[in-house]
Amino acid sequence: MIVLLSKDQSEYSTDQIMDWLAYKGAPYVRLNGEDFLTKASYKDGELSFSHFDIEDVTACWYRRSISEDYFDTLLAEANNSYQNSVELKNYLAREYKVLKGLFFKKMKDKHWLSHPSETIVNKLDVLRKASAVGLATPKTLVTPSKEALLAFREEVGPVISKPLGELAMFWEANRISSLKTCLVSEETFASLPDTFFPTLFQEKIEKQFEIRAFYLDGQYYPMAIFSQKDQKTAVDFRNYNLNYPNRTTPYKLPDTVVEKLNALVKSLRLTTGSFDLIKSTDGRFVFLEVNPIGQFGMTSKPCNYFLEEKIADYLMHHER
Amino acid sequence: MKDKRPLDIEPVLDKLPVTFREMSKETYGDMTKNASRTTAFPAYNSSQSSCHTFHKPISKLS
Repeated sequence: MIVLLSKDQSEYSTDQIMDWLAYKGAPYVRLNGEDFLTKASYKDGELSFSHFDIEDVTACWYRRSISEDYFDTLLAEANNSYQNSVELKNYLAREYKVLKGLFFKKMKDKHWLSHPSETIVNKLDVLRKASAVGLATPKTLVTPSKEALLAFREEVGPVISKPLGELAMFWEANRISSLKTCLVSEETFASLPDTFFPTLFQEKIEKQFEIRAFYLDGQYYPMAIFSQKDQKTAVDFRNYNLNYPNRTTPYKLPDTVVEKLNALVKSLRLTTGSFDLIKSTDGRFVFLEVNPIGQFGMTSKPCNYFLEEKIADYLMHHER
Repeated sequence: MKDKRPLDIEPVLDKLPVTFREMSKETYGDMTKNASRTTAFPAYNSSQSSCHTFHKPISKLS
């Protein structure tokens, strides 16, 4: 049996994998994040779930875990001080983690796509390893110093800034504010204090187009994204223009780039992931970052890659 | 119900990463135009067939 670990019932990409598994007659079960709270129990040294027999499990697909704001929602009706609210939420999250961690330990010898331990990458470490295997990477600076930033700008020209870790979204009554890759404007340079929270800066690479390549089982499924043609998406294609979406096409990476990506995959011990690169105006393929969870939906449909079926096949044919 | 107070970063902007000064802002109206962005809005996270671009998954059929 294949276990599909999903954030919650609304995860559409999990629906699609389930469809293919059902079509191909493969036994599977969906294990949503919240199922650990309602369907799991531990007795006499054994973890069990009410909706499947854990001994039948042969392979696992780790899509996502419970969302971080789940416990916020759970505790929404309470009116506590900020400190106690945070402690309540963190306490429940820690308790949850123990149950979930036990499942991961018990399943460690099964076949995973991907095991949770593979899904935590350090962006700076990845850049270092990418450079080590010969991939072009942007000149990068992490600094809390305005002086150092100005010197960097003097060296590389226009500068972009992006989160060191994951993206962040902030919800308001009628608006969402989000932190993504952005061009550091002259206005910002002029208003900077002498020191600030350490921030990741990189040289701005002039793009012909961007490439998102999904990797699975030795194969790359790249898609070219013509984000530079739209001012809204020119710096980061994730600033989606929903009225006029970027043109996207299947793309074949040069063998030289594939070889280097393979070396990076080996170095990072990945079984899947989405690689972001830029084809620069001076002809280079510049590696930006990798998402080890693997965002396959956005490349699968526009490029007719049928990645959902390939994932289902991978899970079915790698059962132990 | 989630607390939807305005994001207040002005008093501490100097202590935050520079990225906060270039934060992108989108209204809910702009984001709901794309029904495939199911992570953003609970209403679109239900199993309504209109939320899926091409078809209702077999796994969601009653």
